[in-house]
Amino acid sequence: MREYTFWLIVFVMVAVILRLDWVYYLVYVAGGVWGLSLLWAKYHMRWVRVSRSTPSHAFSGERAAGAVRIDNLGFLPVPWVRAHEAVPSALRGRNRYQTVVSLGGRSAVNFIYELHCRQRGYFRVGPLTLAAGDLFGFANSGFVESEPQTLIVFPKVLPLEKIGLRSRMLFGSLGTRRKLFEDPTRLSGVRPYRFGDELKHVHWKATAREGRTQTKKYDPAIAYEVVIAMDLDTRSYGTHGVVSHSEWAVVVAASLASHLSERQQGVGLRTNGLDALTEAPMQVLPSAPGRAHLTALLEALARVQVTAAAEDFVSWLGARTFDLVWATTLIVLVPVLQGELLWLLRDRYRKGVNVMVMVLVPHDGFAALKAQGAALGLTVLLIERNQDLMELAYEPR
Amino acid sequence: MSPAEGAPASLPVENVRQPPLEATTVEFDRQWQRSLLRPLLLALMFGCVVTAATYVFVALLPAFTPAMANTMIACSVLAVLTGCFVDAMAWEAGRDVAERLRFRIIEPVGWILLLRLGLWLVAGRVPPAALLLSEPLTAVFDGAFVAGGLIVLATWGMAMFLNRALLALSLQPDEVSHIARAYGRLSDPVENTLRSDRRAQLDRFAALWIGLGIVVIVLAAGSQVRLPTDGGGFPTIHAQNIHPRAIVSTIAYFFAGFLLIGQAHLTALRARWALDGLAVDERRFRHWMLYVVGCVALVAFVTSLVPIGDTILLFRALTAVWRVLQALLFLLLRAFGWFVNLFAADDAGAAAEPALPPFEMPEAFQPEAEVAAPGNDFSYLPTLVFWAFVALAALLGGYHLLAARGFDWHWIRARLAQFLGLFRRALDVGLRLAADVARRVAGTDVATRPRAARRARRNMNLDEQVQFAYLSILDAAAEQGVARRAAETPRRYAPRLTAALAAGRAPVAAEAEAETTEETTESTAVDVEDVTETFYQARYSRQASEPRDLLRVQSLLTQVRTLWRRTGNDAKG
Repeated sequence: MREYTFWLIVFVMVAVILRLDWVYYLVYVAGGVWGLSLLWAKYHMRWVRVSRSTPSHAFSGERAAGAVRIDNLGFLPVPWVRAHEAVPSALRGRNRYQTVVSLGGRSAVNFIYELHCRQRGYFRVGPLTLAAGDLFGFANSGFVESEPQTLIVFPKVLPLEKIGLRSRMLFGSLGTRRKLFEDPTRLSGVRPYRFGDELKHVHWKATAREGRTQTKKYDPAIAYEVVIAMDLDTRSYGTHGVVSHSEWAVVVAASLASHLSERQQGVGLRTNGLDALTEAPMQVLPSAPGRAHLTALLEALARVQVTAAAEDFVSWLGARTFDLVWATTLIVLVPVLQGELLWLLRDRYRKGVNVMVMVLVPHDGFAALKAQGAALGLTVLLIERNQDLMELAYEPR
Repeated sequence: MSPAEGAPASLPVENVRQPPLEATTVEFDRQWQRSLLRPLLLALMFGCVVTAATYVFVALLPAFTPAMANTMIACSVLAVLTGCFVDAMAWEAGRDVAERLRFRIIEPVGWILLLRLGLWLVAGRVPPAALLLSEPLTAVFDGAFVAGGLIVLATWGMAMFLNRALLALSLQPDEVSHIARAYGRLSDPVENTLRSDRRAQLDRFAALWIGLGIVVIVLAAGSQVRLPTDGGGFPTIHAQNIHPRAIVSTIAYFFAGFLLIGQAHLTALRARWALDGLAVDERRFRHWMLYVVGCVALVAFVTSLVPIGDTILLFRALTAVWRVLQALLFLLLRAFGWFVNLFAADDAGAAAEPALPPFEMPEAFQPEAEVAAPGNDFSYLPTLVFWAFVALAALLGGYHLLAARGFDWHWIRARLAQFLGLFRRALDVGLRLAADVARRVAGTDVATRPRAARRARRNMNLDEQVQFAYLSILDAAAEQGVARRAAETPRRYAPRLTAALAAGRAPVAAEAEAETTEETTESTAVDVEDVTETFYQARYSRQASEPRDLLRVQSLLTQVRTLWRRTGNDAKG
């Protein structure tokens, strides 16, 4: 109330001129209410505490319940508080992520809302904005939460049988439940440390010499690891399929990883996509078995985004698959099959890598390329959508 | 003051959910429109206003009895109450109905008629029917009724105005329909282009409330107005002897206003929240009025404990400032009197004319002894110096405070610069005039003109320097008898000046041709037409002059002076 100040000054002047005691009293009351309102609006947020209980992970298609609790620890009430939760549009439903409450002294409210996890992704829920004020409109106060919470929505995971790929056929060489694919007695060299490497495999002497953490490389004793390589270059998908086909690629990758991990198979991920968390190219996730690794892999698949990569997928894949050990299964997910890719994979095949190419979009010349791949010893499958895939079955050679 | 983000304390928790947009029904703010509180508080406020006004009538008109005043108050309050209720109902039906005068005029007319009856009854003299029929104007219209009728009408009108201002804070019909449409298709807050500035409306209401409150105070103070007993002079106010009922009515007016503003603020907030797509549970704000009453009561109670009147330091300081102003005014008047005395003494002769009586300070401006004594001693000087410092500090502090808040001082600075420029020019003119006078009085040719010209030129901008140089050319030409005539524009004058220059240049050119070739540069005269155009540009256009323009005009001036000095010397020789 800007004009109130002016009129208060006029009021003071009237009191000074008239010099009546009761006019002074009215001036004091008017000024006192004004001052008390300003102080109240300024300090009542000091006693307000905010805490959030939003889930950190959710699966695509779920509805997660988010909650923000607002506590008034003071004895004075807060007349009105408007809480506004900033929710990404991908998580918004037809609810309103804001509410207005009046907080009494020593009381709390729990603002509950629903997050509609329609698509995978890495989302920031928040920050929460609180706006409050006094009883007369003299002053407002506010607060913006400093640390919003993150929510990772895992990609949709389909049962492998559902998409027509029988695991025993796909990875028919599986003989035992648990495979030892690295023999610690057969050290073959060192390489720079990557996220996910176990601490016991760190080569401390080499680390000290190089000045950066180095991990030991072992020759495989019996290696049956699976590496999923996924093309997320925008140029590969064309104009119309960037969103739908890339999302389908992520769903296929997540389904494969989940299926293999449930069978104690080590799964790794290499993609030229962008990590939404770091805004940098996604790091290589080495093959490893276990639930924790699957979670890390699904998180990576939740965060990854299509991007205009610096180099084309064939060059990129060549640089990142030359170190695959013998008997590794390499599953390549590409939207469109290219002849150059077949020749690169032929080279990997000759080095003992079991190569499978999953093409996500039917395109001209696919049949010829598929025949060419078969002639080169590669398995090429068209994984277009759920309905089509139900009829597919891979027969190992 | 920001709240912390931390672990929740063990407090009773209430869960809050926002219903989906589809489940939200938007309608008029019926709680506010059908509220009994708003009409009652408005009636209380205007009852207080009328009460204070009737005390003035009672004080000024001996025939105006307290019973008449009560009748007037009752009719005004009833008019306000009915007006507010009808206004609220009509508001719901549509604004055009609410604002139709003929639809509403029946209300105050009815209450004015009731007032007439009431005044007759309390006076105990109802006119007979025959008198009413034969002389209706005389029987109906007496002073009390006219004054009371005007008050009832004015009260009703102002109450309607304030009531509509308060009703306008709630959701409007166009906003309701807009939200109803928007909720069907949007999940985000409604982007409403029809949103009115409710904060400004509330500001305006508060301003009206305080303004009317000041009127009430003045009216209450006016209840002690006494007419002069000797028949002359102005009415006087016996300030400290005001009737307690007038004081109570004034205080009640302000307290009712506070409650009304508190509730109106909640209404404005509710409307804003509805526009933002928020369903507000009214039960959460059931304690709002309690908080408002508690806040005002707390302040009123604490204020009742503090000393009242001049005892607060702030008001002592303000009173002291007021006294200093009085003292300054007194000094000004005294100085004015001294000047008048001085002139009177000069006209009539100092010795012959008796001295003017000493200036008596008026009663209203008599400063108190401790602040400023109007005598010859200068005991008030330290106080003056102190307050001058205080004022200076306050001005500087205010300047920096406003500057920090982004206040644009450009306008004031520009005006200040303009004022200083004017002052400087006036000073220059004054000094030149004084120098001329001194020169004439002394009979000596004091060479102040070149110095004054140089000093004046230092403060000129390029445009002014161009004009100055051109005018100097005109001066030089005038000295040679080629003065510009008053009705001659510079463009018309230019050919004449060119011809005069050519005439003066011809013998010099012939002589120079015979002597050296170097002086041929001098004969390449600057075109007078160009110089004239340059002067026009500097004088009349918005385009700023450039240094080369000044050089061009100055070069012509130099040529003119050189040429005519030479021709002058030749003529003397």
